[in-house]
Amino acid sequence: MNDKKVKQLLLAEAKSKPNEKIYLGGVSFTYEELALILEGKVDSFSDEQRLRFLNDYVKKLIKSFKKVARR
Amino acid sequence: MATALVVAPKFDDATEYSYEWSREIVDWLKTALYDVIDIGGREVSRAEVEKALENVVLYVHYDHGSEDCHWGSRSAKIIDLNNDALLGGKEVYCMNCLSASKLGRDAVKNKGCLAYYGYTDIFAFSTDALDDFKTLANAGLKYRLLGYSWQQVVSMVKQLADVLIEKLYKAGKFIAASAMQHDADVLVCWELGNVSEPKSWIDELIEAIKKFIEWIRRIICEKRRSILS
Repeated sequence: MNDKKVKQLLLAEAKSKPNEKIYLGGVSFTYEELALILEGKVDSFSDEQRLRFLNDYVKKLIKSFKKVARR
Repeated sequence: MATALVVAPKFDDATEYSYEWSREIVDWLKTALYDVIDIGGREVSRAEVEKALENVVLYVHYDHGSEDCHWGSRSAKIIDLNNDALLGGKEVYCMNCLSASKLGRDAVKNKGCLAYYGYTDIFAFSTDALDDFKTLANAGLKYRLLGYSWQQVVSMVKQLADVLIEKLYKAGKFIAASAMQHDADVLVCWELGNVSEPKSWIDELIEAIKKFIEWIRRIICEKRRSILS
């Protein structure tokens, strides 16, 4: 499964329940924010640090999803 | 009676959850006949943790962590590389981010900590699967109290994670499943003689080059196959 396909699946889920949250330690993001990152709409983030943090984690999330899907 | 110290501060959204999860841990410890010192539900200071650590055999921390510390509030490092000698002779069970990467390694390798169970990267959880993340977070201590060795505990928790991940995946909770996969991947338990070193940038580079060569090989093979057919 390539990154594009993984992003599509995660994006569809994130968009379907925008009010759910993911906690990355002490920092939380709504699925709506996650969807923005997955769509590449980085301009929607005013906080550069939050953007970088979530962006880095999304890369890990994609890698982990591939591992899950390979089973 | 052996004494366990449970430190579960509460001072933001995320710690509301971790504090609630730690209540189950306190119950289990009491059932297992531990004398429990339970500090939490509020901001916790370094001094009170240092004092409480004096006579315990097990220290449990549910809250925020960084590579080199456990937090008791937004500003208070309750355990860090300057006082982790206090973990000497004790077992440590963490549900926090990152602290197994530096603090855990130092505590076991240099300060006599008997075992350090924790995560070497971010521990993430999502609100659409809270019960499953709580199950994962608490399972290690449950297995330990049942008498398994720490290495068995890690292996069993990873197996449990596989089951939970599959359940989440089948339910279409891909984000939760992926986050849990990452949590399970970064779960470790360091014990004396069993502390792996973090990868250096050279190791990472060598690994990346190997992957690149493997990728090129695969492409060449595919091209050959398509030409032959």
